[in-house]
Amino acid sequence: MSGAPPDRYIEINRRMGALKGVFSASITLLMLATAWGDWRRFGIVAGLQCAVIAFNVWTDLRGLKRFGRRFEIVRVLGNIALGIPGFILLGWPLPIWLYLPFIALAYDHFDKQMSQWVLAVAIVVFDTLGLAYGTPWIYPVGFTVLAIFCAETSRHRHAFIREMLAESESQREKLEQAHAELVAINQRLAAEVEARKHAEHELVQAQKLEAVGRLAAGVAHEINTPIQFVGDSIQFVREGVTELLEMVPPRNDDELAYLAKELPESLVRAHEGLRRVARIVRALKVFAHNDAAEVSSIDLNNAIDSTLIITANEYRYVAELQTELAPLPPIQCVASEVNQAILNLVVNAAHAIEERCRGTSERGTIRVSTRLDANEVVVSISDNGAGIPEHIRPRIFEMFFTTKPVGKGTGQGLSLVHSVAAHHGGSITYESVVGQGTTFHLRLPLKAKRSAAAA
Amino acid sequence: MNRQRILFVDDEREILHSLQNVLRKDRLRWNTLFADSAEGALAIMREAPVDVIVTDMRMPIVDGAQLLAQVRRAHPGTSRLVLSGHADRELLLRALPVSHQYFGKPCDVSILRIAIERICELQQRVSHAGVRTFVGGIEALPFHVDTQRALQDLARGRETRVEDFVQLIEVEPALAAKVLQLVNSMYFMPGRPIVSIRDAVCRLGLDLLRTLVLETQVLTSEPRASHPDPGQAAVVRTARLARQLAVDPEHGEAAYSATLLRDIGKHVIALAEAMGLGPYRPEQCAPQTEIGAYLLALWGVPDSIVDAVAQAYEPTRAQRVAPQVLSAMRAAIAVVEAETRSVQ
Repeated sequence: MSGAPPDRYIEINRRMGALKGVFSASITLLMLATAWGDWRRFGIVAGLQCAVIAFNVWTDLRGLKRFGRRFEIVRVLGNIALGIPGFILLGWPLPIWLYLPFIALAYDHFDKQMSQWVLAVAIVVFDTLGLAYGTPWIYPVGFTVLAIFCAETSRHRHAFIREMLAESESQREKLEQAHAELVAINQRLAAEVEARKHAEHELVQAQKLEAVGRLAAGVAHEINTPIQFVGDSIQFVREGVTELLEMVPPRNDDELAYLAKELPESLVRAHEGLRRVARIVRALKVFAHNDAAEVSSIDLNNAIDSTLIITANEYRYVAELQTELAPLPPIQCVASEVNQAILNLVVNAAHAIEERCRGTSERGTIRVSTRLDANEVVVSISDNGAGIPEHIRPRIFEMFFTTKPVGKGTGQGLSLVHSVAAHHGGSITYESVVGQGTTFHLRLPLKAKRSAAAA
Repeated sequence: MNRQRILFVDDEREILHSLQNVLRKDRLRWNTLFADSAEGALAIMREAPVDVIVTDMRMPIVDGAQLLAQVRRAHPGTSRLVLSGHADRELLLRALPVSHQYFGKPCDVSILRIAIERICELQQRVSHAGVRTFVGGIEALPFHVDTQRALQDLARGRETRVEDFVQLIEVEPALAAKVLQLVNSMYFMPGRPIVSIRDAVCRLGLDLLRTLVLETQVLTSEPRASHPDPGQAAVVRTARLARQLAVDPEHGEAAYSATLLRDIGKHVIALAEAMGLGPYRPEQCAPQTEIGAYLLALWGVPDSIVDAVAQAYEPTRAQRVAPQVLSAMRAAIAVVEAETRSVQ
């Protein structure tokens, strides 16, 4: 026994309701036709048939709903009880036997067992009473065979329809499932495309950093050799000039006095200038660590110092720089990436201050500090610049998001910081008050948990 | 007194000229020589050996590493320094095995002068030519085969952390001396002397450590010691005690390193014996502490450690650097000795 038939199955039977009514009315009319002229019998049978129709209409509209499907048995018994006296009165004419195939076809939409019972009861009652009345045996036998044939045909047809419906239902389910899978695959693909775009972008970034690193290392070497001999030469001249001046006999000469004072001083200046050049070149080398995105141990404070030296041009004219670098153990990281992240944060701080102080003579302050927090190093970079407006906060780490005018920002600064932090198993957070400034905290673990995502 | 012969080699004549000028005031103590090619340098050395050679790395035809390799073979007693403008890793890996110290350009001449001074001073102290020659030729000191194997395993291991290397190197004097040498070379731009072995290992980094162990002979040497050093556990215990006894952490690390390395001279003597050079007897050449200190100074290990090692058992020279290191080490040695005596 199958479960509740699908809705469309009930729908088919509902539509057949009218047809059933028309057919049973036709049988009634045929039956009445056999009593044409004998008006007494005609009247009684017509009355009984009206009661049968009324009972059936009531059963369809109310009875079944109130008492359930089992009420069909009552309907059959009721029909028989109301119909039989008429049949007997009419003397079992031929149209009455049409009821048997009609019942077989009309009640086939209930579950198999019940329709079989209904038909069996009808056949037994009709055949018994019919034969008892003396109807020729060919009627009951012929119509019983016809009714059973109809019932079986109908049963097979219904089974077939059920199967078809079940199949179409399962196909619908499969389709829905396939559709859901397709949607999921689509989403995954979209995410993958996004991730690939991101990875490509990062690859380009890494290649850029590497190229810068290689360039810087080359330039640094080229500059270092001349710095070496220029420095040595300046020192030699300094010592030589001092000795030379001692050798000159004392005499009253303005020019000599001027030279005696200025020559050594200017050489000290030259030496100091050269030391600054050397420092910048060294910083450049540290900053542009030519590491091809490999993890190495670095002194983060040294890296920060170097980054601040080479970015001096970005902040020198808008802000004072304060540093507070706590002693740190060496950290494992991809030096070029971390340097770039710090550079981006410092440049951002400078821009934030510039935004606030534009057109005024005010100067801001950039504070860079480091500290050790359990197994993490925290680099904090604060500015007292414009602050981050509330409405753009959710987007500041997005790639290509920028509030800066065209040509000034590419919208890659903070997104790079974010991905560098992520690659190293660290994090980037910030506190910002509009009009007062922003502090970014870059946290990096002492031991890089670098994912393989980047190039 | 003989003037020391110091040879500078660089293919850039401007470098040589300016060095010649600026080192002119040292002419009374040093005889500075200059060569603009490796061939020229070797020719000078054939005439008479030099005490110290300072060479550029990248030179046409024969480069610095090849030159130093030849010097090491022909004149092991000569101290070999590198002054190079290049800081790429490949070049460094070639320079490391053949040089005692590495300086990057630009290098303030005063730094170079101090380094040369220090080497000259020690050469005079360890005047025995045999010792000088032998120590100068040492690339690395032998250590036990098991440690060697452990080192190889760490280098190959996928899960290896720097910490694992620290644990291994921290207790093996031969390795500790080598990493202190490497990390104090100017290639790593240490900024200040690195005295902590842990710090040194961390600064080298996992990647370079792997390369050094697997692809070079820098950390390993032949012959290998087949017997573990029976005194090693006591040495490590004394070193840990010295670290605790020091006043502040920085001196503690120096005291640990110095105490661990205080008998490094014995390793040198053992190596000499193993190579069939005959036992070094103190009356013949120098006390083992002096030999150890000479090796460490030659390798550019920070002065605070070298001085402490030289005076580990007797105050033979004036204390120059960090008396805190020395006192922590002496106290630790005394405590452990007293313990051992009371056990006996």
